[in-house]
Amino acid sequence: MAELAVRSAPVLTNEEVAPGLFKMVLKGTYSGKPAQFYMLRAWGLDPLLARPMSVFDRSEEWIAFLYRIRGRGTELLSQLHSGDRILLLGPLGNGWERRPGRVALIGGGSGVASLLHTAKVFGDVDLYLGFRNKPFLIDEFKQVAERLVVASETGEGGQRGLVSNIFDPSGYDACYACGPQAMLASLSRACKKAKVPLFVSLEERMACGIGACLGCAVRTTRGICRVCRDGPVFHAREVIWDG
Amino acid sequence: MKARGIVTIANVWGETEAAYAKGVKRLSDSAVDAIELNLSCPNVPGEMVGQRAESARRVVRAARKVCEKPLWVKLPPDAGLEVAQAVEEEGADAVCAVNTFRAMAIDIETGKPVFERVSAGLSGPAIRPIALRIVYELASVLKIPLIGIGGITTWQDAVAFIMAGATAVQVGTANFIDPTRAIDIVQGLGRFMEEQKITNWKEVRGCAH
Repeated sequence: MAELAVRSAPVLTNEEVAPGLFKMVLKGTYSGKPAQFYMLRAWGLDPLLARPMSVFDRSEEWIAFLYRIRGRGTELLSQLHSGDRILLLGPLGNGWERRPGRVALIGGGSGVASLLHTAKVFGDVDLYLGFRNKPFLIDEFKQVAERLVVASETGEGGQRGLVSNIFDPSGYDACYACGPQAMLASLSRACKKAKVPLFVSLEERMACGIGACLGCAVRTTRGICRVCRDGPVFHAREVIWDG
Repeated sequence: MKARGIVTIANVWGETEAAYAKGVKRLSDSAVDAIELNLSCPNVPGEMVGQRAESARRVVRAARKVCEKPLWVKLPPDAGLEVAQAVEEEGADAVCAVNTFRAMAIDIETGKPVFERVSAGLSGPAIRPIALRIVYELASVLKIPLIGIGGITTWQDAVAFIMAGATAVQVGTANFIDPTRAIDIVQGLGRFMEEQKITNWKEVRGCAH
């Protein structure tokens, strides 16, 4: 069970990179595949549970997470300073692997968080990012993509509209997406039509991250699956979107 | 798990009396060490049979007939003492109390319940004082062993449940915070025994009464 032990790591930096959006860098050497995640907490028993977060970026010496203040847990995380310690468990979940050929990564909202690391590891990818309003961290994403397409619902900083409507899967050998359910469902239909495999990284509330609490259950053609343990990556055609 | 020497207790839930009996029979024929009847699961559809003495009695009776292993019965928090006594009369070997509390959350942005089934089971430290009170009350009426459950997160919590009358405790939610939490609790209990010069938990079990 060594790999399932909670470890403690010092915070290197924890900065607000866009309104309400924070990037936290932790010191240490970490393993894991793109789209795997960690359970993070920086408190005792209140709030009770850790928060699941996908890896935003990683090097030999540090790991970075991107998070938005959504509630008390993320609020507490945002108040951490350099040198404060944080508890983390991971890497968890299955992650995704690059298929050969032309590959597109599509992210929406906070779902863009896992795509920077994915793009770096995969290499040679086209990146499609969708935002509600002002796009963030575009300079960082630019450096890791062959081609970067930015969309926002308000039209700020990119094409106006939903990234799932702007994205065209034809010509790609595989697509990888993370974002809101509606976006993934729409991409799933488009990729099915274009006969391009789509891998989706699902986001769900979860208590444990290790397959025990069954809180993150999703309906799939394989039956009910746990996002944390059986996913978070699923083949889009396995997921029952209407469920 | 058997090969590793791990004691395994299977929890079983059924939609009907017959389904309970069928599940219990299969488990009784399997390698599990004991069977826990789940008379209350707030996360799945169906009537919570544990809330009424008569339906609880029928289910336990049906299960007892086909169960050759120790039969434990897990109760919802609102079961009441009559249900626990009915379960004991029908031959349960232990009562486990309590299951989660039905609770809900509303997403104020959408104005809708957070959970698909509207309500879900609340567990963890929030329910611990209430669970402790229920275990204390059950301990005063039951003769069979009582297994205390409800937000136990530290060894001190476990001691309190034993002092309320529990023979054993279960730890659920705390494992979600840290998968090695149960080990910490067991080690803490060991240290407490040494410090307090307790040789057998019988010496303190139910001492709060």
